[in-house]
Amino acid sequence: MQGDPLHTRLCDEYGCEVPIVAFAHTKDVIVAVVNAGGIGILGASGQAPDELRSNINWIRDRVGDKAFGIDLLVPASFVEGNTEDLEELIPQEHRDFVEALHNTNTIPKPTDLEEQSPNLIKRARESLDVIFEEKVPIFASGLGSPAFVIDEAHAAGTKVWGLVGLPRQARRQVEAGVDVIIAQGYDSGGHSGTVGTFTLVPEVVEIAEGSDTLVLAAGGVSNGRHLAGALAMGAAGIWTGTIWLATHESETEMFLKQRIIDAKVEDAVQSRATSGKPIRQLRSNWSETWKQPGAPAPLQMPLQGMLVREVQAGIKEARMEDWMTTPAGQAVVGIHEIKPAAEVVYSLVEKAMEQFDRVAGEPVAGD
Amino acid sequence: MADVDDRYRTEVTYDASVAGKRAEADGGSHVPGTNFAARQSFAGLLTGRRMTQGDPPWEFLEMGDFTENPEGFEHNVVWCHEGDVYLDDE
Repeated sequence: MQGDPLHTRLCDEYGCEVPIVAFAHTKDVIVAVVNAGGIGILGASGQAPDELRSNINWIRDRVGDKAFGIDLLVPASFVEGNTEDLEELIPQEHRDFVEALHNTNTIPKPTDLEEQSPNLIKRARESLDVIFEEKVPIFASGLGSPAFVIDEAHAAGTKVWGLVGLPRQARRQVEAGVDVIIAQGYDSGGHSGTVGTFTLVPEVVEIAEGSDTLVLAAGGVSNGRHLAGALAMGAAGIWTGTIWLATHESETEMFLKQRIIDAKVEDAVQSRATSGKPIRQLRSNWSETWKQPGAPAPLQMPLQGMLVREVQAGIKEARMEDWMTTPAGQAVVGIHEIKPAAEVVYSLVEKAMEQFDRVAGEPVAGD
Repeated sequence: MADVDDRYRTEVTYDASVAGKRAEADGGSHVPGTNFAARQSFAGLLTGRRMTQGDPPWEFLEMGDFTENPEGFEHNVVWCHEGDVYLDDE
């Protein structure tokens, strides 16, 4: 549509109808968004290569040649050492605290503790191989710079996207020729950076100006006002995660969907209790118990994760709802009901167009 | 394309061109067993040890003598992805 403010370069280059990108861990959400005109990116870190290949083919069977992608958390740093050496670094005070959590809250010991991938970089490389062999249209790196695989990806017909939280990361990735940069602000769920979306996005847009790299705005995006605002700041579209958690298609547990709907913005808390680093998530007994007087400060990565692995598995296995959580950003404030993912797409579009019309004082795009 | 073994092989070498240089690194990784990842920031001296994994090469530089590291970080050194390392004289 000529003059359609929602038809951006992202639509031209990826064939999507609207500049809306959904990040989700549920493949049904990905399919629904793609078939509603957006782009879906499946978060696949932790998936074994065979499972990843199967999911790629499942999605492709349902979206055909429309654009979709796979997001991996390629490590940007890691500590070398065997598990036994690292275990020795965990203070007894912390072990006692976790043991007390088990006892005072009747958290059972898990009967089945998932095997950990012994080598993060080997696993990431195996997953990248699957993505390129399957010629997935988009590979998104959710953490470390993906520059080292750009040539290989492009040779396979795969576009490379990188998520950044700081301008210097964006500058490095633009220089490397990354196809799309996701500028993710502090309000986002999970591993948000320290810079707010409203500050970061225009800065990254300026860095990318004159290059072939497109910029997506991420962090706190929950409705069409944000979409219109992102495009007005120069982004080619939006990257969204939290708003898909409470869709019909999402595999998020129903009680968590309800908590997302009920959540206020201050319920999307940053907590170090899971990994040792701040991760924005839905408030739960888990995040709160580590803030109580007498609780030790969470350890750093990777020790905190090692410390709490068993107790978290016990919580999950026993389905202790008050203790369970999900990564979620401040966009929870814009989620008011459970609805189909396609309706979320249409609602974003409708509200964004209202904003453009309101600013222009007249309809900005004809039929 | 390299054969399968080469793609997953890891080699540690010494790179004098970066040894002793002051740098910052935007690190972090996936948290195994969860859907979470976490960012970590470091500043310190590059030791000169370089880890190269696979083909095309994925390069990591070892950093130590920290002037900045995450609170409570218990380790003397960390491997940082070269693409996320920023030399002070850059």
